[in-house]
Amino acid sequence: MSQFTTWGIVSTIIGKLPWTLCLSLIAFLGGAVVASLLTLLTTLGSRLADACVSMVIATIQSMPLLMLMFLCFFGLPLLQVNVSPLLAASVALIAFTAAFLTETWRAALKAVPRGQWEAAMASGMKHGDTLRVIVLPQAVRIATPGTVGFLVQVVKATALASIVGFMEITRAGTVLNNITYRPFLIFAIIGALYMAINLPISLLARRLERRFTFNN
Amino acid sequence: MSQVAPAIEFRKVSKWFGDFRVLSEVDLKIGKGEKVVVCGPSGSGKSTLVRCINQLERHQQGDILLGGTTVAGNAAHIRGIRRRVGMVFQQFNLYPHMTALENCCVAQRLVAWRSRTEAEDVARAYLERVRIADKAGSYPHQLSGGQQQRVAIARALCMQSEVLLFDEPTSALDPEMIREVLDVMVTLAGDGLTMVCVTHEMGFARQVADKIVFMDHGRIVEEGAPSDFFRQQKTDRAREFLAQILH
Amino acid sequence: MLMFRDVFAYSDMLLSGLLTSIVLCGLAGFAGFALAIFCAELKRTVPGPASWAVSAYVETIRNTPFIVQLFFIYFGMASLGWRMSPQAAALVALSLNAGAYFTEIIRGGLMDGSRGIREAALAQGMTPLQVYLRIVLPPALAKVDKPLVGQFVLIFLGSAVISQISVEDLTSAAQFVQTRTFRAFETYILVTAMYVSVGLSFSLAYGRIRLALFPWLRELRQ
Repeated sequence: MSQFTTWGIVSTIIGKLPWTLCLSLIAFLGGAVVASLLTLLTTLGSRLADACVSMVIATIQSMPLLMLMFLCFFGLPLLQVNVSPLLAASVALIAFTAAFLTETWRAALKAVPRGQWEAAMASGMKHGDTLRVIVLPQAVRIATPGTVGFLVQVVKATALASIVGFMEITRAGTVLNNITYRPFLIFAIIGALYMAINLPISLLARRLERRFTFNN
Repeated sequence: MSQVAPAIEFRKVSKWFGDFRVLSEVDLKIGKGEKVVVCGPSGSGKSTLVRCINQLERHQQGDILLGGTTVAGNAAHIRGIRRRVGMVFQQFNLYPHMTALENCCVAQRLVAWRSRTEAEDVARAYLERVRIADKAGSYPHQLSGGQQQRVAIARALCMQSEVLLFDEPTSALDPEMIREVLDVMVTLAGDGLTMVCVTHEMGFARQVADKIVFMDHGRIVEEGAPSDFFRQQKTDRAREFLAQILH
Repeated sequence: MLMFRDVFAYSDMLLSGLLTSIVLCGLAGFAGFALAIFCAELKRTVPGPASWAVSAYVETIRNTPFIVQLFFIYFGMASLGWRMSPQAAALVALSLNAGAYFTEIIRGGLMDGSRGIREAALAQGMTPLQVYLRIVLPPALAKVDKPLVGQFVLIFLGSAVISQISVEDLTSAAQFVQTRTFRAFETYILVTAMYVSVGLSFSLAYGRIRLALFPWLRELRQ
């Protein structure tokens, strides 16, 4: 009764792969931009700003991502914003990503020894230059493995967008499952696709981490 | 002469780490109650020699006998051998999550199947013996290196084994703590235990050893009474070695 | 304006959903922990196929979304003839998920510094199982207990997804209340607060009992 052959199922799922990748990219890049701003905010030395950023991060990280997505999906319309599943999912995922990246990057900045700041300032460099030329390059090295590794979390998190109705590969899977009832095949393929994206990233992150530990 | 099996006997024992030969055709007899000090430059195979006795390292050729029975065998056989051999390590290796008393009790309970009260009585007696009974309730990280090593000695004694192995027991200690550990070892030497001790403490060797074994490149180069060994070395290697560590 | 009154009328339902979430996650936490203790040591001590199998399991779980694992177990296994209730499928999926993450964390704790005590215990004649469970594992767990608890809380938060196979957990209660009251935003704010407070309370409660579990840390100076 169904017109879906095995190949039809595979190609339908793969056809939705760009949406998974696209949403991952939106979340990661958007999150990175927000995180940069928040991290920068915390280097300015305002206690209040620091505390606010910490609060926001802690709140986002202690709630289920699915709830964050539902809150965006049902909350944004209250602000007279017309919400598509893509928009709600993007906002939630960007917030989720920004919280983690801000935390990682702040920790990386703090991990650069205090003496580096003092040495540069003592040689007459300005605060901004010290940050840019001396501290940031070292912090970037510290933060890279964790940042790359988090990309895996982002790709996995996009699967939750299927619940608010965004058509990416997991959503394609549930729809196909309802039509064809071949769940074993369908979810095995989807799992394999996630593996194909994430395993290389995981391995890369681990390699970066090992290199970093050896150099210290 | 009566035919009493030696406490430990090496018969043409060889061992390789990959291509590197750590022990070559080692022959050695250690009588019951004998105190043997094994010395030699680093990499000479002295630690490996001792660790083969309780099969922490497996030898590949030859035979090692403990009281007449071969030590090699399946896992259960080796556990039986280890039950009869106590060991003290360079890094103490106390169990960090147990008090000194618990460190002394755990193997008594799990391996020797003693009751809790019996195990604790034995443990307290030996902690007393190494003069650290007042620290029975302390965790290893609360003790100094010398105290930790004395607890480790008590832990080994608690199993009441025939043989006690020491693998550089004072090498990881600060100089001011070496004495307290050596003093304990000297007291034990008076007890009739068979002791095999890898150490560079030549004063200790002179004081308690019945026999000194000097190793180099995986071979036993010299073997004899301390008085002979210290008076007259037969080989240049031993002479150089002694000159190095005595200065 | 936000109106919570209609939502509060369903508080019994929400609380019973919360209880389901907590019970399922608690059971999965124990099962996953037991699985991880086994897998971590298996990977360390048994080279070859057994170790590869553990790696494959851990990597598969860590690199795929939980929701896909859940669907695979609930729908996929049923299609092979292994039918499970939604609750059972959720429990299996949560346990396998927890097991994989816990395995990696525990392996991290086992990695450094356990060689010496392992050797000492073997030299005393203990069996490998005694050495692992009595000597090596407790200090390793004490080293990684905070990441373990953190991961467990993450699994609890992630369990919201089991509502998708119609387990009557907190999220599914929320979805029901939302369709009855038309107060979606309020409902999800309340339910989010419930998730957050249970997660935080668990972390705080663990912080209090931690030293009772690992008494030797009590006098440890940091």
